[in-house]
Amino acid sequence: MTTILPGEKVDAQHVNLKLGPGLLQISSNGPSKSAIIATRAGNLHHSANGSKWWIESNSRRYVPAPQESVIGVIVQRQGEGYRVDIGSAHSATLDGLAFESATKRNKPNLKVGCLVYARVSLAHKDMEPELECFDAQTRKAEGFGELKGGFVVKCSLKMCRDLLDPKHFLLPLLGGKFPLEAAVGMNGRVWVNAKEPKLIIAIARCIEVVDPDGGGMDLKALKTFLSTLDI
Amino acid sequence: MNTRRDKRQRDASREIEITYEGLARVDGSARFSYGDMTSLASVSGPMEVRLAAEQASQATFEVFVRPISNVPATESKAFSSAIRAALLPSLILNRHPRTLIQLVVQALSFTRTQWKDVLIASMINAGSLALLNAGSIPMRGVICAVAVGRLPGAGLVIDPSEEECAYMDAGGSFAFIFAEEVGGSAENVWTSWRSKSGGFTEKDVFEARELARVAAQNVYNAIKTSVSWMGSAEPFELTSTAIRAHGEKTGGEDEDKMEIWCAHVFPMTSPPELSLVFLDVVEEFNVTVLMDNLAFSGIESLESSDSLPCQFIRFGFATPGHHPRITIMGSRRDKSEAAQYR
Repeated sequence: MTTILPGEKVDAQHVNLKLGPGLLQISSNGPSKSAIIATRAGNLHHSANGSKWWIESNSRRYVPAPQESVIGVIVQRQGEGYRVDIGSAHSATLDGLAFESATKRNKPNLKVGCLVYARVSLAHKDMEPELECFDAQTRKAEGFGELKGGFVVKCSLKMCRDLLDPKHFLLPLLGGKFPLEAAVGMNGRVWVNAKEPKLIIAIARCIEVVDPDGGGMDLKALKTFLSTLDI
Repeated sequence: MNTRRDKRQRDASREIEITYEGLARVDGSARFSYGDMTSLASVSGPMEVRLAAEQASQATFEVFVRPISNVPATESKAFSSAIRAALLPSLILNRHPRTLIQLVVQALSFTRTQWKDVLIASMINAGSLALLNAGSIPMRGVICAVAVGRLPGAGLVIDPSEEECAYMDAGGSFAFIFAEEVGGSAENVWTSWRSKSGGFTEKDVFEARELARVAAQNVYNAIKTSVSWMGSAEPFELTSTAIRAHGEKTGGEDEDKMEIWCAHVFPMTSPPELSLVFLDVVEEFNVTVLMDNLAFSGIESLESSDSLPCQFIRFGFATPGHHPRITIMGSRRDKSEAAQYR
């Protein structure tokens, strides 16, 4: 793992090379036809066989990417669908038929301000992002859809990725203390629900302090912190 | 030769200080100082753009400068257009068309002289750092800026102090883009070189530019160091010293921080090993060791024990016979305890 700055060359060579976030292939007129440069500051990582390369860094602004699950807020109803705020530069569109068992007659009735857990089905720099609340192949919800009740916590994008990692300590630790529900969006929003408001507040506070953007508490410190909360 | 009042070499800037503020409600922020000349910058974007400023093929890049006192006026406009011109070559704007990238730079120092170049240089660097901190805007390089002044009799000086500015007859800032893509050396992307009296020749500008290029490299090194602890809790530098692996055992000790650590290089082993012993360390902390500005954070071979107030690190040099520049930094895991050990 090495620290890398934008503009630095990455010596990535593989017959089936895949470049992840923060890397860009550029063509230059020099002796080597093309080069791979970093476009953001962070830590350079690669897979064991050197075919996949990416830069790990933290940021707060979400840029949509296909197949990522996000949490959005309905901001407008328009004819057949909805406009959803997912924290990116442009609001996304969500079709009224992109739900499980939705037909022309039977569509979900979402209001402005409702929360949805959805997957980005289309993300292109020149087009508005599109969302769907079901798996296009199986037409099953697979956990997507409207989020009722609960509370949305905003955090950094690194925190979201950490929470999706099954090896991360936070959710298993809290889950061991009391039952909770959580939906993690890749766009810096985490929806949580528990039986009592004070438990929801505790979860929200824990996510806040563990967030690398706002404290970066580790397991040991978090346990001490949890003991100060009345849960 | 030392001709400057503050005992600096003519090619040395004042102390560079970089802080990542973590300002709320923006996507990235940073503070940069040349000595007491400080600027604070924040970046938001890519975000929704006003219809009038929307561009179909690329992102709109806006820069606003806020002076330390009074409302933004003509001078702020001039500053913001200078900062925008300097930073624009580093941004890849066509990756996010129809969006807005907004940079707000706040001056935190006051200049009494007409020469605002040091302030502009610190603003450009702060802006560059805020963009790096945001991480959501693709860049093709890092912009580093440095001010140069010409003193009658003494010649060119880097980063003129307030006192020196009063005597300058020519001066300006130079901004360089650091990217391997452009071919090794830093390319000059922007300058504000001008003369108040006496004029200047082409040779003068080239000389000033070359002097600035070397100083900008130091800024780049400082930025690179800062990025390795960006995002970790409350960073502080234990020490920054060059340890030379000579033929025999060498001890590198810092006078101020002697009780905190000492370092020993064992070149006899193959590959040579550097071991660092941290003494009187009560709190647990994350250690980052930079070798030739490459970060080895976490350090897998860290032999530490939680109970003993001592931490011991041992790692091997990549290439025997190579003399790397080593910087050791720690970031304490518990913020509240950090101040105690500063």
